[in-house]
Amino acid sequence: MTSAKDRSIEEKKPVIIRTRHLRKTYRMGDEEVHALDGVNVEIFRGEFLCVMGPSGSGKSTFFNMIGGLDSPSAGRVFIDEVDVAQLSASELAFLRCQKIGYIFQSYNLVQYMTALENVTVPMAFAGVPDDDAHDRGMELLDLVNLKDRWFHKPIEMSGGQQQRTAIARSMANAPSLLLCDEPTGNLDFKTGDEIHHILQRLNQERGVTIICATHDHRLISMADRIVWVRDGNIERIAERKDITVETGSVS
Amino acid sequence: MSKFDIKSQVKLPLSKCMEVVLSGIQFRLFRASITMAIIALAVAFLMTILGDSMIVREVAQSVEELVEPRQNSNFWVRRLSRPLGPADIGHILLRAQPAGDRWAEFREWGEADNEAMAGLQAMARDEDLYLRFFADLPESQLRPLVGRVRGRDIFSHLSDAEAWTAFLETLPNLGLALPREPEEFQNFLRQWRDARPLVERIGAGHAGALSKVTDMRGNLTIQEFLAESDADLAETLRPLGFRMRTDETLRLRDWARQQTNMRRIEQTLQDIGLRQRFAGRYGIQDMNRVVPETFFGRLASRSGAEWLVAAMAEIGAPLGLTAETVRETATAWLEEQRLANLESSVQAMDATGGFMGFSTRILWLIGVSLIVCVVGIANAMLMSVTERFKEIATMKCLGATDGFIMTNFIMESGFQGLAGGLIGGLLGLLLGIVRAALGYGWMALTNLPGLDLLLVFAFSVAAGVALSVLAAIYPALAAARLAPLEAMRVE
Repeated sequence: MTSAKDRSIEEKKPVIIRTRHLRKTYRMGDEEVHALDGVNVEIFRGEFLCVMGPSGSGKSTFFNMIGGLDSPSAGRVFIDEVDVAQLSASELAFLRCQKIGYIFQSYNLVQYMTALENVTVPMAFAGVPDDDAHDRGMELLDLVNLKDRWFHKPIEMSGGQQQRTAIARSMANAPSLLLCDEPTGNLDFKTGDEIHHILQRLNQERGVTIICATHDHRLISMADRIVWVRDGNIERIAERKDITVETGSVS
Repeated sequence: MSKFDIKSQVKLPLSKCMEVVLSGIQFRLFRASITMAIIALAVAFLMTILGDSMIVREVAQSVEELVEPRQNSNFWVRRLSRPLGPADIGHILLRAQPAGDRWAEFREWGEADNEAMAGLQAMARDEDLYLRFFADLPESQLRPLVGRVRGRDIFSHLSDAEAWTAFLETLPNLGLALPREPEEFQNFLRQWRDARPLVERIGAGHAGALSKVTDMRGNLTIQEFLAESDADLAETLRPLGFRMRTDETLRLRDWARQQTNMRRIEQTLQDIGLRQRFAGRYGIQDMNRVVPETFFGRLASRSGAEWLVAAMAEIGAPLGLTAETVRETATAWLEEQRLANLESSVQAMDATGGFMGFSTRILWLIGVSLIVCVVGIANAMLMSVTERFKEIATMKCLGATDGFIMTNFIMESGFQGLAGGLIGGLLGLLLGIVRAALGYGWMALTNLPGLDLLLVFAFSVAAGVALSVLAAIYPALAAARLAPLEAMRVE
């Protein structure tokens, strides 16, 4: 069986994100800290990529940079061949709204909105009419099995339900890229599994490129490639088939 | 080559922003209500002061109308019993209508024509201007300027050439400037000197008429004389130069009768026996407390009035008034006292002066309270922004523009300002009315200036909204500048 995704990777391998000599320097007093020190990497469309690295490795900076959330000190980030540094504030907002979906460790749902309202926020920002947004929002909630809970506020939902709502929200404008920051970091084993499967389905059925910063070995075992970041640079990139992942272990 | 077109993010309609803001306020109702309370207090303060002063102004006006007839009567009594000095003549001239009654009287007594009268009136206005100027100067400045002379004497003093030169030299040394050019002042001084004979003639003419009135009334007081006069009084006075309208005659007679009756009832209090009877009847232990206020207070009722008539008859000094007249007179006496009190408190208000009738102190208070309000709101909004770092950053990740975030916070503050302003405005209005009612009683409530109060209310609420929006500008900017990667932060 060949899925849509397998074809795209193996046949054409089009690039969705490309970085060139990416640098980020922070000043801490008199000292300059190189959070990123000349990173070159290519991420393919439709790929499931995990980013690993200890804290302070520059992993977060790298992650924010390719998500259009932070601007480099030097070098370039291309998302779909567009140089992010060239975009105006409003164009960046458009990029974040339309092309990238974000999933956070602590869900970051808007507390005073219902699940459906949360899901439709990005659609409102994109100017989608309310009726269409409502229909699409319900479809997305159905996708994450929360259709019957659309009127619940975040405090009335479990962590797993909140993260599923967040995934539905990230898919609001059908982005080609999902950026997940420790998506199961706050969840127990079983609930984490549900999230993993949803992400895997989105990747395989919809061809969404997924980039995950994670330590979770089960997630790593689903990835196509794994990137190790250390001391502000890429230490190693490996295809999953070249490494052994002990599924079920807790790091 | 780009695989998709990057466009500018769409601008959201304000209604969308409003939806988000309103549900946000609803969710954070407690915090929002604290902010609203700050605004409500400031607006209530503003509203109370503005509303109170509007009511007092209205009360002052109606008090003026109420005391007008009494003032008119007093004016006649004075002119029919006492000679007119230059100050009185100047005063009357200031208000005299050309070709009116006062104007005609003066023209006749002064044997002047209309032209001379017009000149005299113009001179009186200048005189008033310069008199005020000198009256406002402190003693330390008056002494070197004009020596020991004061008031109108300054004008005759300055007619002296030497005094005039000294005056002109001293003026700049004290850092003072006349209300008009020195040449004009000199001009006025000449006119003033020239007008002396006419003013004196008017005074003499009036004095002549006055002596005839004194002859007429024999040994009666002026009030008794007026009380016994009839409708012909105007005709009697006319050959003497006095111009009295017929309706004035009757009003004056009624007023004089009432005054005479008041004096007569007051006289009864001189009788120690009656005082004791009064104290006994009304259970007053301390004889010192038998004062006109309590006395007339009791007489204003039917039983009190009947008691007095009976008591005077028993003593053997019949009052000569019916109980009904006693009651009416006592009521009028109380009314007169009330008006006099109102008048003096209203005059105390007027004396404060300043911008829109507010003293500098009140203006300072308003200003400081508004500044405190702005700082309070700005602080509350900043805290609100800090608390919502993550929410704001998440919104930015989801595609919110800086403008949307900014509008969001300004609108939130504006709504809070509106709600707080409305609450504070109503509260302030109520307090203002209560305050005015405590100070001026029923008159304050019957003289509510509806339109003025509505305008002041609208102004206060608008001020509340404007202050809130102003205070929200910095916090909103801080929120809009927040980097979206703050959303990634894990507490």
